[in-house]
Amino acid sequence: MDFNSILSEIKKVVFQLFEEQYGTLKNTSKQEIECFLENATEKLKRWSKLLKNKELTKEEFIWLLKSQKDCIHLKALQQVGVSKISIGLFKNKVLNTVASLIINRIL
Amino acid sequence: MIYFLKNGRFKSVLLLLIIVNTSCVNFKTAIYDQYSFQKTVELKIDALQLMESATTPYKDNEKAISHFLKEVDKIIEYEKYKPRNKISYAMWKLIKNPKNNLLGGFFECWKAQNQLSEAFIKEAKLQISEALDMLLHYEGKKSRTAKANILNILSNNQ
Repeated sequence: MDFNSILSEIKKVVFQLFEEQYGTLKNTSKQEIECFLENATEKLKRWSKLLKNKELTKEEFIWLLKSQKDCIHLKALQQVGVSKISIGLFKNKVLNTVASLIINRIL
Repeated sequence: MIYFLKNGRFKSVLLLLIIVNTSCVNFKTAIYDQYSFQKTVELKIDALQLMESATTPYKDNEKAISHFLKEVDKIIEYEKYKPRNKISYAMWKLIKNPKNNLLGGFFECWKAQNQLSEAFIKEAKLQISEALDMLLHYEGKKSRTAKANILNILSNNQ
């Protein structure tokens, strides 16, 4: 399993998704996506391996992916405060894209 | 203007304004709370220990889960009524919400599946541990911020 190629495909597809939805991708949004992927890379690698070895089910894999989104939400609260956070970026569309890309490539 | 600057009364008023201003900055976020910190540490240990039982049927652990979630509700209620404490309160609510995928979501998942795999529990524990650590770091940071602000006030008063 070449995880790096999966990761670059995820980046490409997620950036494309945002460009289609919001027109030009703002730098801050791009940074947020990159930050999300960078923070989650090691975990994504580990979870993908467990999924491939059937130690995790598809549903469990998606659950963990969503928990990562919640951790990022917490981090945003901790760093920026309640009134200024923007996590619209990590809505279900992005998570579904990441999950389906990995699941399709692995299973 | 020069007259005002040389005037002793003006200097006193200015000093008073600076003290009031720095004092207000100090109270923008809640101050460090030993009880919150200690209770969060206890709940983190209890949560991770309870999660390990998720390889066994949910029904067998229902009583312990219910007791644990009540304890979490108590700290959330405590955080809710602390002044200027919106962030800690929001963080706890997110962690406990069964619709999210952290502590509350884990117990929902356990309930729905009845038993969970060791691999999943291990990974979920890491995620929840990370979430609770963020709460602890945030509470600990309040201590440093408060100390810095107090030192600031003291140096302004000298």
